[in-house]
Amino acid sequence: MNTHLKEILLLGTGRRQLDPVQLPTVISSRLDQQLNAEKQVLQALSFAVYLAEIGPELPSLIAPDPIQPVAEERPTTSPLLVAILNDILTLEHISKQRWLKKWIQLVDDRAEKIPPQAVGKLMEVLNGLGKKAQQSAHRILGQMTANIYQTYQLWPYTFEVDTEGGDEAWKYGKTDQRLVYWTQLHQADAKAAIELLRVDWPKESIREKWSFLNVIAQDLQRLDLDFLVQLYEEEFVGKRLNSKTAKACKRLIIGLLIRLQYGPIRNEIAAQLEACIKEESAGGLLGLFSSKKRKVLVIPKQETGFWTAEVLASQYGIDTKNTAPDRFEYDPLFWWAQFLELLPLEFLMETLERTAEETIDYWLNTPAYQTQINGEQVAIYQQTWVQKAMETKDEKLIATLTKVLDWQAASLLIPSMSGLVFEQYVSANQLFEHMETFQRRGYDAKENWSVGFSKKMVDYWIRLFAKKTYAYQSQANHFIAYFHPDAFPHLRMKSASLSNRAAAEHWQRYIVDPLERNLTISAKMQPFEQ
Amino acid sequence: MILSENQIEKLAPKPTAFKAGQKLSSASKWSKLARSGRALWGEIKGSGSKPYLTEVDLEDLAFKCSCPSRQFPCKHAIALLLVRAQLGDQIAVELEPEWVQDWLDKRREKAAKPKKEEKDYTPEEQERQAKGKAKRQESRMVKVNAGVEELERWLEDLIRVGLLDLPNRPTKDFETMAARLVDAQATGLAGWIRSLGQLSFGEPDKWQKEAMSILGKLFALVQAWKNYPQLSPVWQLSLKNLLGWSQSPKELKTDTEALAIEDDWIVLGQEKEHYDGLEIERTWLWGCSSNQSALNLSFGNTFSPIVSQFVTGTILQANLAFFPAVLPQRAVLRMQNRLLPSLQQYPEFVEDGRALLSSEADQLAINPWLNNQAYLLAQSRLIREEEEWYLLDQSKKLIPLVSNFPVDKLMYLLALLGAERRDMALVLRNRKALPLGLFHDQQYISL
Repeated sequence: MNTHLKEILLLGTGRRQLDPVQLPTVISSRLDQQLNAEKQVLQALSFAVYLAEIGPELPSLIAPDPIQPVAEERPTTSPLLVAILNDILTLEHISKQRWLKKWIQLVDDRAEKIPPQAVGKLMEVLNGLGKKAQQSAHRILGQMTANIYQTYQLWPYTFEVDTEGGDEAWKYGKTDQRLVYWTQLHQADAKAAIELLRVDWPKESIREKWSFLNVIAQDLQRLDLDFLVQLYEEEFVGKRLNSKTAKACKRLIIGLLIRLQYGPIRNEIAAQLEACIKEESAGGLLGLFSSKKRKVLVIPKQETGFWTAEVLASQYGIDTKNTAPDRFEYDPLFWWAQFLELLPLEFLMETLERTAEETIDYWLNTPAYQTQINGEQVAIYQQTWVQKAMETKDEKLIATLTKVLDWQAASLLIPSMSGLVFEQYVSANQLFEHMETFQRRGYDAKENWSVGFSKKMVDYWIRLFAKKTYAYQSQANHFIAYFHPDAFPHLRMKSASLSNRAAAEHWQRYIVDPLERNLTISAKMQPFEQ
Repeated sequence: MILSENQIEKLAPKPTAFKAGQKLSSASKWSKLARSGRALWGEIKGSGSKPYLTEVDLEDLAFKCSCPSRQFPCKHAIALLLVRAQLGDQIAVELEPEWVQDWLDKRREKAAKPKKEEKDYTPEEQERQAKGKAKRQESRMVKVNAGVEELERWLEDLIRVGLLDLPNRPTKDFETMAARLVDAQATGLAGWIRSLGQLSFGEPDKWQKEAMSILGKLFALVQAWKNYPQLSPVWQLSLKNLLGWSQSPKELKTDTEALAIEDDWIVLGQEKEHYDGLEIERTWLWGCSSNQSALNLSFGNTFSPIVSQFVTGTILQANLAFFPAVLPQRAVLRMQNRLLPSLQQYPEFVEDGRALLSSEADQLAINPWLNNQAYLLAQSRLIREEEEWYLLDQSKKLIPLVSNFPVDKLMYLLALLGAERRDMALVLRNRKALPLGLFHDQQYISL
């Protein structure tokens, strides 16, 4: 637009006069001199707009083209499998999330990519599906589309880490990318993973060291022993550490070494604890009718021998400053909490010669290890046990704690429980319609309830519908998502028992119909899973 | 002809209707499913004792269902089409049952039947009618002229004060002027004034440019109208349309003198716009042999929703009638023969962006108010440069994309194109491209 004309237009003819000489001739020569000042400006504008619409050249691409062709390695998946995605998208939230994860994983496992028509749909539903599904989704987009989305920043999730022969990820990746790479390598080839870590260990920060040790703790193997011993001896033994993370690393390594039956430490701790072991008469009926003695561990009230701040801090990385005096009346009780965390359950069972259940019962119900907080009797090591179970994911420990703790305290363990333990927990505590319990479980795409438990849920729910005749939408969605297909005949049979028409309609609408849709998807997916 | 899921989705009156259709799209839900060369039908259990009978005319796309739904197509028809999209030719071919045959025959009969002649009027009645019409026209012309004069004064006043004052003006100012133009039966002009009041005044560079463009075109229109008596009849008609005279699709369909083109028409794309309770649907079509573009406009509201005649991405062998204009663009479907499974003839494409704009310039020279025209551009693809999206043609020229191009369509187009260039269909809107779809393997894929 001509500057003179633009200025007049913006400021108005009240403040500026049009000077045709300052306009391009193509416009000025066409102006009607009979018109008043305002109309002349408008006429000049009409010409200028028209010329602008037919005139200027288009810009050219000067910079190098950021998109280059890539040969696709993956074939496009079957249209039938794409059609299943459409079916999945009609499901309720929980079922949809579960099936989406399964579907994405399936296409990824088949090393296929999706056709462009499905890309938009997939992109719409990825939010909230979790990192793993998003990474698989990135692969099934196909290399070209994935590249374009990354280049143009249309992919809002974390980029895929190249874990196949991926030296790059290890050398140049961010901490989480390196961890993903190393975790996968450790699972596939522990020896190679350890050798790789051994080389770079001195350069790692203490936070990163802590993270790698945790990966080892989750996937502990005999092949890790030498490396752990080396670390322990070179960096931790006999050293008094100041950093909290370094102390935690030390405790973690000791725990791992004991789990691996590493003699020197295991025997040393066993010997130290032996000094605190006493024998006393068994309580209850056993005590009345036999002379059987039971081992107990008496934690000294005063610092003595092994139980001194100096020894525990330097040898085992124990934090000696009692940060919870209301719970731990004297310091050695506090120190023991940290020991409990690092010692494996089987070691503790062996020390006191008790079963798993008895061992936990001992530490939770012995009066010496209980205290009053706000008028309530509290087991001072309950939190420690729960924490330990959550961190180690020790199945035996989780199962035992679930039995021993009351349902509310055990609810913290729900995400770590195995399917069977979870079902036992729900059944034992009659939590069939307790939504929070099921929500805590999270959404595991691979998990299904057992047939027996699915039947139990049917029996309970059908009674509920018969009584109240209304649907619990969110619980129903959970029910549908986890229900075992083999229990469907039982559900059909029980459905017939609903005599109330409204109840039967609700049951059909909220349970049976959506379940059938799920089962249809399951049946359609099956041929592709083989 | 099998519609894709995307096409069926676009056909659904609402997203919820499509979702409801998807839930019924498993073949097991249907107690009966069959097809013939021209139809698809099925029976599905509903809330009543008898199953619903659903049928689709595959040749001249139409639906019928015995369910009580007021949505059109209903969820059952959508589901039936989805089942067809999934199973394709696996649906058994059978003899059409009576209820399907009756419906299709009636449709064919109706289409073939010449339209009923208007009532025969006596010469006196005809004269009286003509006089009445002329009087109404005259009265409207007087009103419109008065409105145009008032608008001219309003524009002069605006230029006297300067456009920098525009953001300070109360919205009421624009609304009042627009309302006066509506009262003067010049609704076409009212739209320009409303657009002026709705500019985003937070972005000075943008609104100033847009305001100048609106005012330049509007003033030219006002001046053209003042020359109305000197113009040719076809120009007079075109101006009337621009000022808001409505055109009757019904009359056009029966007007034997109107321009009509028989061709294989590609339904390039569709756009819906909602304004003040009114729904406007624009459908762009392209004739493969005639290389003529066409724009179909449909209007609806809450009580009378639009029932779309076109499914994007399909190719119809049909006859389109064009409203008379200096550049005939707006058209209606006069007769549809059948849907074609693929392109029988590949249309012509403009070579590159330069040729595209030159082609538009030629048309603007005929009608300077032309906008939203569809074009076919050869071998181009998407690219982003400095946060802006462009179409990159084969001469490495960049055509900017309209700023409100939906991100889901953008991602779909990127996935379709990859690093390849393809022949594309687009609409030019104020020198910016609105991509509609692309051509691949004798097929047209709409976005």
